Amino acid sequence: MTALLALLLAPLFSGTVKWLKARLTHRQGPSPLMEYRNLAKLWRKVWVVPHPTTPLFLLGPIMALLGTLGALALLPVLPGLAFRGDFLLALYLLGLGRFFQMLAALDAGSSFGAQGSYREGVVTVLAEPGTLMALAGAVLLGEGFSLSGLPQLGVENSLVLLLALASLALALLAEGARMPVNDPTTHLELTMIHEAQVLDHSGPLLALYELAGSLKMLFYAGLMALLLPGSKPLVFLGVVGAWVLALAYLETYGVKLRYLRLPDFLSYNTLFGVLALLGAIWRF
Amino acid sequence: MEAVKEALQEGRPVAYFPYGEGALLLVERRRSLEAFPLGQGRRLPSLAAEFPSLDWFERALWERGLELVGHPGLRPLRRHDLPYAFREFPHLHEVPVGPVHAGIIEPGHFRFSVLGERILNLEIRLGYQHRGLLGIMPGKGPEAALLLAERAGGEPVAHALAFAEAWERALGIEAPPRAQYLRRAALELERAFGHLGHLAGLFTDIGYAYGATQVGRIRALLQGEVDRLTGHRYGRNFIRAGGVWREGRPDLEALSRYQKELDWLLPRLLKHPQVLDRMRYVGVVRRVEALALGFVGPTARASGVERDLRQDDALYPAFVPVVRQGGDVLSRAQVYAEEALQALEYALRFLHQRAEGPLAVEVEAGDGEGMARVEAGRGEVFWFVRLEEGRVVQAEGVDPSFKNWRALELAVRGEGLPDFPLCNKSFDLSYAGNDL
Repeated sequence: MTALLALLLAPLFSGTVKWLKARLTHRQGPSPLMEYRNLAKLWRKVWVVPHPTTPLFLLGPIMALLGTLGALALLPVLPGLAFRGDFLLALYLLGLGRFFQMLAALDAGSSFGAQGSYREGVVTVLAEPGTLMALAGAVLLGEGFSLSGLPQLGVENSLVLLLALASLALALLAEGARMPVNDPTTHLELTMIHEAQVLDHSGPLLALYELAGSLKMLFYAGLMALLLPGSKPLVFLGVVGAWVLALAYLETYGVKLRYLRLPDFLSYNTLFGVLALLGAIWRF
Repeated sequence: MEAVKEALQEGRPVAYFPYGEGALLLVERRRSLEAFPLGQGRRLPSLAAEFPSLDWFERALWERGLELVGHPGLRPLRRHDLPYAFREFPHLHEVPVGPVHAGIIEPGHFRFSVLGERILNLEIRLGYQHRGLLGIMPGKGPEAALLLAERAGGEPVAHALAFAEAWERALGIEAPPRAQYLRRAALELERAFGHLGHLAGLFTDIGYAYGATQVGRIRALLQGEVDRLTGHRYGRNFIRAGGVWREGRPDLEALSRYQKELDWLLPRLLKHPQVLDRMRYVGVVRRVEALALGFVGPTARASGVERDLRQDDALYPAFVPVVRQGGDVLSRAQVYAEEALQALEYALRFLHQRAEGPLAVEVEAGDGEGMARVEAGRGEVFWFVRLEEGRVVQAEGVDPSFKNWRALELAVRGEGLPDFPLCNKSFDLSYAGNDL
């Protein structure tokens, strides 16, 4: 259910960010609904497969989308599946998608694809432990060791949950390949992280990648919504709206970090994760 | 030979082109130009091993059929029909980039030898835009050659001005004062919008959309004023031998308004802490390197070389060049920002000062040879022209980019691969101007 909602919302999300960024720089900007048309256009296009490639090249975008959708299906924003330890599965379904995306970029054999893959690998290695620990801390405070039993932000658990929220926010920026980690509008091959991986994919394959990219951000927004009090679907929409504003602001007035400074930035994520986990265990 | 070496020791080469039986080397030493005819029978002694600033000049001469005796590594510079071997670095990973890029930019090939993300060496191969500009000029009338020269690189006003002045000197005439002021006004406006373009590019490359848009907006408005003055948004077909073609009416109030806006905006943009973090200490070109390799323009001035051809121009009394010592991307950005403001100041002054009088003097066909240098936005533009019976016999031009490309090779050494585009944009060199 959540996955379907997110699937419908994803193009609107990235389209609105683009529109708002344009408005903030006094440009007309494409309509927020443009992304739907863009996806439809890409879907109708022919796709080119570089030679020689293996089926991994096709599997990359498919698995990226399926992995993200699978993770979203486990989010109880709308009623859905729930079981003990499902948060681990959700995070690693995302990881699976990313794994195939990296392989597909390597598969084409271009130097930029490989460069994008290893950079994505570095970002993941830096971002993942913190997110996992922060989420584990939040889950420990709830019931049933599951996403559906996540606690809601209140007075007694505020420290742990605020740390978890901060960590998830950083993870969204890192894994969604947004500023200040990565500039999604760049055309400069040498600075690319996410874009370098998808350079060789075209048509429907690119559409799958674009969809998976915005879905990934919605997944983290969904996780954040679960930690906030209120009716889940409404809170989810609220969080997504807040992220549209935040991303547009960051990508207009912010500056991209130097790639070699990413470890500094993402170490905050790890710090938040460690503190959240310690807080959950010692019950601050 | 000793005199040449002495001059090169203290100065830098300005131009080096086939002349008579051999070649003519022009060296600037202590702000004055010295000429040395070298070689005989199309054989030249190579000095590149001792003076690396001559390396590209000598390779360009060799490509044109001259023999350079003792050059340490002759490889083509612009021609792609001759074999070319990249320097090899065993055990290092090679990243080839270009000549086709993901964005709409000029073609050039960059070969990085990297260890992880760190660039240990960069080799630049250009020539993809080689149009044989110098080769098609002989036999043409100087008017046609002027139009060609204007299209040589990214700065049409500076190129046209240098060519027109060389032509005027060949005939021994001078443009009337009114034309002099108008030419300088166009030159300064070109410098201002060029520099703003470099700055907007720098902000785009670090993902600072607000800075890029604001600077880009004023740049576009300035281009409108260039259009009002010259009749063309890039100032083409404005300068002629003996004067200028027309006199437009740019909006002086608007110009001083843009100047005020920039005066407020640019220092604030360049003090953004994240901007500082991206630009400071990145892509350093040291002063000794700038002197040894003969860099010109903002590239040299950002590395502490206090030289601007406008210092010698009588129309710029007591001119003070903008100099920074850092040699990094930030220093170059600061030089662009300050020079853009300075250029607007001068443009306004020239437009206010323009005297009454004719726009041009009559130019008659004649014989002679002349050369001229003009400080363009990117540095020194040089043109030499020889006329016989009203026809161009030989024309030689040197774009500032030709002298500055190797600054990029030095600047990126030791930097991370993702910082290359930023370093590249901080020089913002012309590929076409280099390739001619």
